[in-house]
Amino acid sequence: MQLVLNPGMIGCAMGETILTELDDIEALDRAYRARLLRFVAYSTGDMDLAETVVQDCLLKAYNGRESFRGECSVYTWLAHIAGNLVKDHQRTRRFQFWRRVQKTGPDLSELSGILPSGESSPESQILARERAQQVSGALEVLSENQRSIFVMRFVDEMDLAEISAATGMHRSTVKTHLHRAVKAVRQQVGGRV
Amino acid sequence: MEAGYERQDMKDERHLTDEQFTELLIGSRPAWVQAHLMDCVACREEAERVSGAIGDFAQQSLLWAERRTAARSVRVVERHPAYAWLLHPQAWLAGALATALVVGIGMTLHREHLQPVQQAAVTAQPDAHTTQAETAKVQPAAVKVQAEAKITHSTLKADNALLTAIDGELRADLSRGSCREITRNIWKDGGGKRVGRAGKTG
Repeated sequence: MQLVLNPGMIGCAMGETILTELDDIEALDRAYRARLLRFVAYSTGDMDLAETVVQDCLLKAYNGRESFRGECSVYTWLAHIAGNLVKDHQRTRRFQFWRRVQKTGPDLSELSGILPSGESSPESQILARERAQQVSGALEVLSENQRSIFVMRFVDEMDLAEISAATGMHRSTVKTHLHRAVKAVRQQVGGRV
Repeated sequence: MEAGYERQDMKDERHLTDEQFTELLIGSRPAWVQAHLMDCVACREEAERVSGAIGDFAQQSLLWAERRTAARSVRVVERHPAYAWLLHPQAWLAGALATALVVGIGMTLHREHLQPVQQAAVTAQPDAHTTQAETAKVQPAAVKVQAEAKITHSTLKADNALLTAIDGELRADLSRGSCREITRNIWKDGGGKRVGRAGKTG
């Protein structure tokens, strides 16, 4: 007896799973808040803005869950919403130049006591932290688009199609931003660039 | 291997270009790139160094974000205890305002309650200069007090009239006869007669 998979059945099951995930705001919060916070915080370099945007993003996604068609992953959809919210916030704050003074980015030195469990020796831990801080430092000199695309690709591990869907940019534009971001990171890490 | 690295270092075009390096990091690894990495130590080491640094960054930044999120959840939980509102200065301010409001309303009501009685007391005095129209405006309780005051006033008037009458009769009797007889006549008549007399005189 041969088992035949019906694509319609798979789609339906996937749809139900996604709908359940979006129907429960607490589950949505648990699953995506940290990732979204990291994405927005490193994209904008503004912690206060990141906290606000993530909160608004989760609420907006929950309220507008009916509009989610399941054409991309939930995280891609959330990143798209977060990106639009960041643009909205920045538009309204364009003339609030004092925000630049107060702007506080994510600080990896907060993680002095938390390091990857795989890095056993103190020397390895210090090296890992230094490498992470080099990348963090490289991101500071990038434009916001370059930063957010870099984070999407290398930190959130989204593929180019997902990044393109989340940002609304053409695939080639995404690649251009990625090239520039990687070049800056290579320079910071000590590459041959 | 060392010689191979130097030979390749002299010919930069043999290393991966920026675009190729980015493609490599993105995940595009054609066969020729794999072959190049096997031969070129510099490119291989750099690829490992950069991807390792990005991996460290991804891991630590996620830990950082999770810690921030957890800290936020803790703050939300801390709000739940029933006594938590006591820690906020706004709660104390609100409490003080509520107390002041209750005391203020209480005092106002108390003052409003006392005012008609005081007004009535003023109106009830015989020397008061309040007119009849003004006293008519006073509350029912005040009207009652005023009525009692009227009774007292008329009684005084009647008593004064009676005394005047007695005084008059005494003078008349003194001119006619003995004092004993006068006294007997008065007490024989009784209170009602005296009042009647007083009424006649008044």
